[in-house]
Amino acid sequence: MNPEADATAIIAAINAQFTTVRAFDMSDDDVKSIDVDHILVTVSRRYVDEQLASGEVPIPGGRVVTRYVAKTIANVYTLRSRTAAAIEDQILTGDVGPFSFESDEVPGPDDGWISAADVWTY
Amino acid sequence: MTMTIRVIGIENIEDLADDLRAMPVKEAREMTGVVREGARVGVSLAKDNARRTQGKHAKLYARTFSASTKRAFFGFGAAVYSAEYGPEAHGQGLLAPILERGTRNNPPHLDLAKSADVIGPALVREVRDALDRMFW
Repeated sequence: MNPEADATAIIAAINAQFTTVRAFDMSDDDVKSIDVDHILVTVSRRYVDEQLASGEVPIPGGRVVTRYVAKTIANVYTLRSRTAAAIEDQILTGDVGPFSFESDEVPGPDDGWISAADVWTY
Repeated sequence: MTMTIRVIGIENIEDLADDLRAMPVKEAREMTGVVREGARVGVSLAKDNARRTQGKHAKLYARTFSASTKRAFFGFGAAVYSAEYGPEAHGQGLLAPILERGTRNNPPHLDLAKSADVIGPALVREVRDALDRMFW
Protein backbone atom coordinates (compact mmCIF):
# COMPACT_ATOMS: atom_id res chain seq x y z
CA MET A 1 0.00 0.00 0.00
CA ASN A 2 1.19 3.47 -0.92
CA PRO A 3 -0.65 6.27 0.92
CA GLU A 4 0.57 8.86 -1.56
CA ALA A 5 -0.77 6.97 -4.58
CA ASP A 6 -4.02 6.23 -2.76
CA ALA A 7 -4.40 9.91 -1.86
CA THR A 8 -3.96 10.86 -5.51
CA ALA A 9 -6.72 8.42 -6.53
CA ILE A 10 -9.06 9.65 -3.79
CA ILE A 11 -8.48 13.32 -4.62
CA ALA A 12 -9.13 12.63 -8.30
CA ALA A 13 -12.38 10.83 -7.47
CA ILE A 14 -13.59 13.71 -5.30
CA ASN A 15 -12.60 16.33 -7.86
CA ALA A 16 -14.62 14.48 -10.49
CA GLN A 17 -17.73 15.60 -8.56
CA PHE A 18 -16.91 19.26 -9.13
CA THR A 19 -16.38 21.47 -12.15
CA THR A 20 -13.27 23.05 -10.61
CA VAL A 21 -10.55 21.56 -8.44
CA ARG A 22 -11.76 21.44 -4.83
CA ALA A 23 -9.86 18.61 -3.18
CA PHE A 24 -6.23 18.92 -2.15
CA ASP A 25 -3.66 16.83 -0.35
CA MET A 26 -3.18 18.44 3.02
CA SER A 27 0.60 18.10 2.74
CA ASP A 28 0.71 20.34 -0.35
CA ASP A 29 2.80 23.42 0.31
CA ASP A 30 0.30 25.94 -1.06
CA VAL A 31 -2.72 24.60 0.85
CA LYS A 32 -2.82 27.57 3.23
CA SER A 33 -3.22 30.05 0.38
CA ILE A 34 -6.36 28.45 -1.08
CA ASP A 35 -9.12 31.06 -1.07
CA VAL A 36 -12.11 29.04 -2.34
CA ASP A 37 -14.23 26.43 -0.54
CA HIS A 38 -12.15 23.28 -0.52
CA ILE A 39 -11.58 19.76 0.81
CA LEU A 40 -8.36 18.70 2.51
CA VAL A 41 -7.48 15.03 2.27
CA THR A 42 -5.06 13.03 4.40
CA VAL A 43 -4.34 9.33 4.05
CA SER A 44 -2.45 7.24 6.57
CA ARG A 45 -1.86 3.54 6.98
CA ARG A 46 -3.57 1.73 9.78
CA TYR A 47 -2.95 -1.49 11.63
CA VAL A 48 -5.15 -4.31 10.40
CA ASP A 49 -5.43 -7.37 12.58
CA GLU A 50 -5.58 -10.83 11.07
CA GLN A 51 -9.30 -11.35 10.80
CA LEU A 52 -9.57 -14.76 9.21
CA ALA A 53 -9.74 -18.03 11.10
CA SER A 54 -7.15 -19.44 8.67
CA GLY A 55 -4.60 -16.98 10.02
CA GLU A 56 -4.38 -15.33 6.64
CA VAL A 57 -3.37 -11.69 6.92
CA PRO A 58 -5.60 -9.45 4.84
CA ILE A 59 -4.28 -6.60 2.73
CA PRO A 60 -3.11 -3.56 4.65
CA GLY A 61 -5.65 -0.82 5.08
CA GLY A 62 -5.73 2.91 5.40
CA ARG A 63 -7.62 5.73 7.00
CA VAL A 64 -8.76 8.82 5.15
CA VAL A 65 -9.71 12.11 6.73
CA THR A 66 -11.60 14.52 4.49
CA ARG A 67 -11.94 18.02 5.92
CA TYR A 68 -14.49 20.32 4.32
CA VAL A 69 -13.52 23.97 4.54
CA ALA A 70 -16.02 26.61 3.39
CA LYS A 71 -17.34 30.07 4.16
CA THR A 72 -20.88 28.88 4.95
CA ILE A 73 -22.31 25.83 6.68
CA ALA A 74 -24.46 25.09 3.64
CA ASN A 75 -21.34 24.84 1.51
CA VAL A 76 -19.67 22.58 4.08
CA TYR A 77 -22.62 20.20 3.76
CA THR A 78 -22.45 20.35 -0.03
CA LEU A 79 -18.76 19.45 0.01
CA ARG A 80 -19.51 16.64 2.43
CA SER A 81 -22.34 15.09 0.43
CA ARG A 82 -20.40 15.24 -2.84
CA THR A 83 -17.41 13.61 -1.18
CA ALA A 84 -19.58 10.85 0.23
CA ALA A 85 -21.03 10.31 -3.24
CA ALA A 86 -17.51 10.05 -4.66
CA ILE A 87 -15.95 7.59 -2.25
CA GLU A 88 -18.39 5.95 0.17
CA ASP A 89 -18.54 2.19 -0.56
CA GLN A 90 -16.65 2.83 -3.81
CA ILE A 91 -13.61 0.97 -5.10
CA LEU A 92 -11.42 3.39 -7.05
CA THR A 93 -9.03 2.59 -9.88
CA GLY A 94 -6.03 0.69 -8.56
CA ASP A 95 -8.13 -1.31 -6.07
CA VAL A 96 -8.31 1.55 -3.57
CA GLY A 97 -11.29 1.05 -1.28
CA PRO A 98 -14.08 0.31 -0.56
CA PHE A 99 -14.35 3.18 1.91
CA SER A 100 -16.44 2.77 5.03
CA PHE A 101 -17.57 5.66 7.15
CA GLU A 102 -15.84 5.60 10.54
CA SER A 103 -16.64 8.85 12.34
CA ASP A 104 -17.29 12.50 11.70
CA GLU A 105 -17.16 15.94 13.19
CA VAL A 106 -19.85 18.62 13.13
CA PRO A 107 -19.08 21.94 11.40
CA GLY A 108 -17.38 24.51 13.58
CA PRO A 109 -15.38 27.73 13.25
CA ASP A 110 -11.86 27.13 12.00
CA ASP A 111 -9.42 29.96 11.36
CA GLY A 112 -11.95 32.31 9.75
CA TRP A 113 -13.61 29.46 7.86
CA ILE A 114 -16.16 26.85 8.84
CA SER A 115 -14.99 23.27 8.67
CA ALA A 116 -16.16 19.74 9.35
CA ALA A 117 -14.51 16.38 8.80
CA ASP A 118 -15.33 12.79 7.98
CA VAL A 119 -13.09 9.83 8.73
CA TRP A 120 -13.17 6.81 6.41
CA THR A 121 -11.43 3.47 6.61
CA TYR A 122 -10.57 1.03 3.86
CA MET B 1 -17.17 -15.29 16.03
CA THR B 2 -16.86 -18.96 16.84
CA MET B 3 -17.00 -20.55 20.25
CA THR B 4 -15.38 -23.82 21.17
CA ILE B 5 -17.04 -25.98 23.76
CA ARG B 6 -14.95 -28.63 25.45
CA VAL B 7 -16.56 -31.02 27.88
CA ILE B 8 -14.08 -33.29 29.62
CA GLY B 9 -14.54 -35.94 32.28
CA ILE B 10 -18.21 -35.51 32.88
CA GLU B 11 -19.55 -38.52 34.71
CA ASN B 12 -23.00 -37.23 35.03
CA ILE B 13 -25.03 -34.88 32.86
CA GLU B 14 -26.06 -33.09 36.04
CA ASP B 15 -22.49 -31.83 36.45
CA LEU B 16 -22.89 -30.01 33.16
CA ALA B 17 -26.25 -28.69 34.29
CA ASP B 18 -24.64 -27.32 37.46
CA ASP B 19 -21.87 -25.69 35.42
CA LEU B 20 -24.39 -24.07 33.13
CA ARG B 21 -26.30 -22.65 36.08
CA ALA B 22 -23.13 -21.10 37.48
CA MET B 23 -22.17 -19.52 34.19
CA PRO B 24 -24.18 -16.27 34.25
CA VAL B 25 -22.53 -15.34 37.55
CA LYS B 26 -19.04 -16.24 36.35
CA GLU B 27 -19.68 -14.53 33.04
CA ALA B 28 -20.54 -11.19 34.65
CA ARG B 29 -17.27 -11.19 36.59
CA GLU B 30 -15.14 -12.39 33.68
CA MET B 31 -16.55 -9.98 31.13
CA THR B 32 -16.20 -6.97 33.42
CA GLY B 33 -12.54 -7.92 33.77
CA VAL B 34 -12.04 -8.35 30.03
CA VAL B 35 -13.58 -4.97 29.26
CA ARG B 36 -11.61 -3.24 32.02
CA GLU B 37 -8.33 -4.71 30.79
CA GLY B 38 -9.22 -3.77 27.22
CA ALA B 39 -9.66 -0.13 28.19
CA ARG B 40 -6.39 -0.17 30.17
CA VAL B 41 -4.43 -1.50 27.23
CA GLY B 42 -6.27 0.87 24.89
CA VAL B 43 -5.40 3.94 26.93
CA SER B 44 -1.75 2.99 27.13
CA LEU B 45 -1.59 2.58 23.34
CA ALA B 46 -3.42 5.87 22.78
CA LYS B 47 -1.15 7.61 25.26
CA ASP B 48 1.93 6.34 23.46
CA ASN B 49 0.53 7.65 20.19
CA ALA B 50 -0.29 11.00 21.76
CA ARG B 51 3.17 11.35 23.29
CA ARG B 52 4.68 10.70 19.89
CA THR B 53 2.47 13.18 18.00
CA GLN B 54 1.59 15.92 20.47
CA GLY B 55 4.57 18.18 19.71
CA LYS B 56 5.65 21.06 21.88
CA HIS B 57 2.40 23.04 21.85
CA ALA B 58 0.35 20.24 23.40
CA LYS B 59 2.98 18.57 25.52
CA LEU B 60 0.54 18.01 28.40
CA TYR B 61 -2.05 16.33 26.17
CA ALA B 62 -1.07 12.68 26.77
CA ARG B 63 -1.15 13.20 30.53
CA THR B 64 -4.92 13.80 30.46
CA PHE B 65 -5.64 10.30 29.11
CA SER B 66 -7.46 7.92 31.42
CA ALA B 67 -9.61 4.79 31.33
CA SER B 68 -12.70 3.98 33.33
CA THR B 69 -15.04 1.02 33.56
CA LYS B 70 -18.73 1.82 33.49
CA ARG B 71 -21.46 0.02 35.38
CA ALA B 72 -22.69 -3.07 33.63
CA PHE B 73 -26.25 -2.95 32.32
CA PHE B 74 -28.49 -5.98 32.66
CA GLY B 75 -31.92 -5.99 31.06
CA PHE B 76 -33.99 -6.76 27.98
CA GLY B 77 -32.38 -10.19 27.83
CA ALA B 78 -28.90 -8.76 27.48
CA ALA B 79 -25.88 -7.73 29.49
CA VAL B 80 -23.80 -4.76 28.37
CA TYR B 81 -20.29 -4.31 29.75
CA SER B 82 -18.56 -1.09 28.83
CA ALA B 83 -15.47 0.93 29.56
CA GLU B 84 -14.11 4.05 27.96
CA TYR B 85 -10.72 5.65 27.56
CA GLY B 86 -9.30 8.83 26.16
CA PRO B 87 -8.39 12.39 27.12
CA GLU B 88 -10.37 13.97 29.96
CA ALA B 89 -12.15 17.25 29.33
CA HIS B 90 -9.82 19.52 31.24
CA GLY B 91 -6.52 21.26 30.57
CA GLN B 92 -4.99 20.20 27.29
CA GLY B 93 -7.45 17.31 27.11
CA LEU B 94 -9.77 19.94 25.64
CA LEU B 95 -7.54 19.99 22.56
CA ALA B 96 -8.68 16.46 21.71
CA PRO B 97 -11.06 17.41 18.86
CA ILE B 98 -8.36 19.53 17.20
CA LEU B 99 -5.57 17.00 17.62
CA GLU B 100 -7.54 13.85 16.81
CA ARG B 101 -9.10 15.00 13.51
CA GLY B 102 -6.99 18.06 12.75
CA THR B 103 -8.04 21.49 11.55
CA ARG B 104 -7.62 23.52 8.38
CA ASN B 105 -4.03 24.19 9.40
CA ASN B 106 -3.11 20.99 11.26
CA PRO B 107 -3.15 17.43 9.97
CA PRO B 108 -5.11 14.89 12.03
CA HIS B 109 -3.15 12.83 14.58
CA LEU B 110 -5.71 10.00 14.96
CA ASP B 111 -4.13 8.85 18.25
CA LEU B 112 -7.35 7.26 19.51
CA ALA B 113 -8.41 5.80 16.18
CA LYS B 114 -5.04 4.08 15.83
CA SER B 115 -5.27 2.59 19.30
CA ALA B 116 -8.76 1.30 18.47
CA ASP B 117 -7.38 -0.46 15.37
CA VAL B 118 -5.20 -2.54 17.67
CA ILE B 119 -7.46 -3.00 20.66
CA GLY B 120 -10.69 -3.77 18.76
CA PRO B 121 -9.71 -7.16 17.29
CA ALA B 122 -7.74 -8.05 20.45
CA LEU B 123 -10.83 -7.48 22.57
CA VAL B 124 -12.86 -9.80 20.34
CA ARG B 125 -10.30 -12.55 20.94
CA GLU B 126 -10.31 -11.92 24.68
CA VAL B 127 -14.10 -12.21 24.83
CA ARG B 128 -13.93 -15.48 22.89
CA ASP B 129 -11.28 -16.86 25.23
CA ALA B 130 -13.31 -15.83 28.27
CA LEU B 131 -16.30 -17.73 26.91
CA ASP B 132 -14.09 -20.75 26.34
CA ARG B 133 -12.94 -20.66 29.94
CA MET B 134 -16.53 -20.88 31.22
CA PHE B 135 -16.59 -24.53 30.22
CA TRP B 136 -13.47 -25.55 32.10
